Amino acid sequence: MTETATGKLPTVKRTLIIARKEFSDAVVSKRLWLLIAIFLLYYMAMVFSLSFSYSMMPEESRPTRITQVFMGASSSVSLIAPFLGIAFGYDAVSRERESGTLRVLLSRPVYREDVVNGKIISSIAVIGVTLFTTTFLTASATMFLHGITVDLDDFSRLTLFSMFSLMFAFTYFSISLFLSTFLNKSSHSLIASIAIWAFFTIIMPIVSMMIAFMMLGTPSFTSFNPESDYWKKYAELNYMTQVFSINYHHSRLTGPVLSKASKQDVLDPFKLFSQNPISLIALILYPIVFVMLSYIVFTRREEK
Amino acid sequence: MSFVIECENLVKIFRSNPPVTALDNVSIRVPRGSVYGLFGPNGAGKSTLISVLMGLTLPTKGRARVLEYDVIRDSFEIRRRVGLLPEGFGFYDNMTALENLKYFGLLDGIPSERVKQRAEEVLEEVGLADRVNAKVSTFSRGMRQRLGIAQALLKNPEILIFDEPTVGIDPDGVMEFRSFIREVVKKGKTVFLSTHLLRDLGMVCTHTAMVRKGRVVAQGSMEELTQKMKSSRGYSYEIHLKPGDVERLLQEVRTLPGVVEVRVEGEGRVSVVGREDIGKELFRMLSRGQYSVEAMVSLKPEWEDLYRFYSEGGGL
Repeated sequence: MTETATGKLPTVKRTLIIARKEFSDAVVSKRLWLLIAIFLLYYMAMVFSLSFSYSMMPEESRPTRITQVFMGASSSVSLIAPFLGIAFGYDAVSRERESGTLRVLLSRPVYREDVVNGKIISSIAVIGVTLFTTTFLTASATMFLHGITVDLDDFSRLTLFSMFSLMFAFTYFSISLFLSTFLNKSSHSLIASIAIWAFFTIIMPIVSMMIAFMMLGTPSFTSFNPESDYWKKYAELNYMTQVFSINYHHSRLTGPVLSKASKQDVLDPFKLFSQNPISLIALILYPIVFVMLSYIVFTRREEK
Repeated sequence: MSFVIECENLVKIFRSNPPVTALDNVSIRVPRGSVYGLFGPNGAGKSTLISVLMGLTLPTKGRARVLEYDVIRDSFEIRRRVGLLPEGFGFYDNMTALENLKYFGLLDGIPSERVKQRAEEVLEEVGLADRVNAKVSTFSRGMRQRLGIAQALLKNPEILIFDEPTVGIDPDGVMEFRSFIREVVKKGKTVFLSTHLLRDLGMVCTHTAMVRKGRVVAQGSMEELTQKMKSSRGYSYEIHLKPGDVERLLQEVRTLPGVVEVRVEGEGRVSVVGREDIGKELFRMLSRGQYSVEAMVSLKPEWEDLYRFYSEGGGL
């Protein structure tokens, strides 16, 4: 057996070479900047419409100013985070397969796990940087314009919110990555990813609401009291029907993080986790399951 | 003679519905320093065999070793030592030729301080030195092909495997590719290539295997295959002479022992097929008979003839 001029790289180094290349590709990609632009536009529209609707409310029932800012960030990030995940996952493997680069890549001394790991690391980095910077920049700018002073608790809330959103985006990334390893065409993977998003975001909440109304009857909106028996039962039913919805678990965790009743209201993360353990587990478990499935499918697949 | 690739009763069945047998008891041995051509029509199993050799697909049954490494257990080591130009390969179009090669070179294990130099060397070797910093999206098909060869050469491999390397390439490109292969072999490398275009690459191969429906129907050197075909089909000669002498020649040739077929191919052209090599007897007869002969040619079979002969079961 003869030696070649090349050396044997450790797994970590191979993974990082792939991750670095993927990261550079992603940073200059049109899709990232398009999503950031959409996020900023949507965020501005949300802040404007929320301020308008809050101004119509009686002063005593208005949320605090900081909560208003948080709500703007929350609704924009909750919309954009899944798309960030999908944008970097849906063609992660299938595009390489379609363009013929996968065979060139796999003809090198790399394991398929290295390829998947490299793509995961770069995507977490890109999505993380995007979510953290956009969330912090937009929220800070809005608070500055409104003359709101920020304390450590506000900062912690934004950090925790960004972390949950990163996990949320990563869940969609892992689902799309799995579809990308499984399906031959990126277009099919994109359609399937968007269908899953639509199912969790649009169809499931409607179905859940319909089931609750069918079982509990139509609620009385004139005397809305979330502490009433009706709404407690509604919440229970909603939880049961949406227990598999990643969007639901994300909103269960981010909702309390971003609603600050007063300046004295300090977030206790441990209380939050102990009240919503299933949601936290879901945000951790979902991506693990889909990443594992991606490994299994990709490493066992015949790349003819 | 040492062999760099050895396959023994290799079987690959794809579990589709119905199952497809892509490789059916394939046994081949590729001598070191040879240019080994795998010939066969589309769907014959050539690319599957290459995938198995590179460890991209697992065989269903049988054994295969590349540079003494087992394709199932040691495919990583094989990929460190073998350069592949896959069929339907692609590059990152948004990157330059140099960036593409640096990326692949790093993955090949070339140290980062040497990878740029190595990439430039192979680009020069394939004639793309002036396109180093051009985006791959601006490359013609021929240039992409050269870049494909460059990426296979990066790791300075002992074996180069080319899967359908001349598909879509113009005749100049094919000629360049043939001379490139000759140069590579001079440097002591082994070339294993698959093609369905026998005419393009047949003349550069020292050894061949002919594949049909996943089975190797013949293998050996060009000479061995020709000899085998001749002894089975006969030895052909063509005689060019004055048209007025044709009738006399036909009558006389038929009397020669061992002649199995005599045919007029055109004006002043007669073909003679003998069971054995009747060249000497034919020559003597033409000298004695005072024919106005312009030429007597021993007909060597073309690659197409060989392929047709063996794929129709001639080798069995």
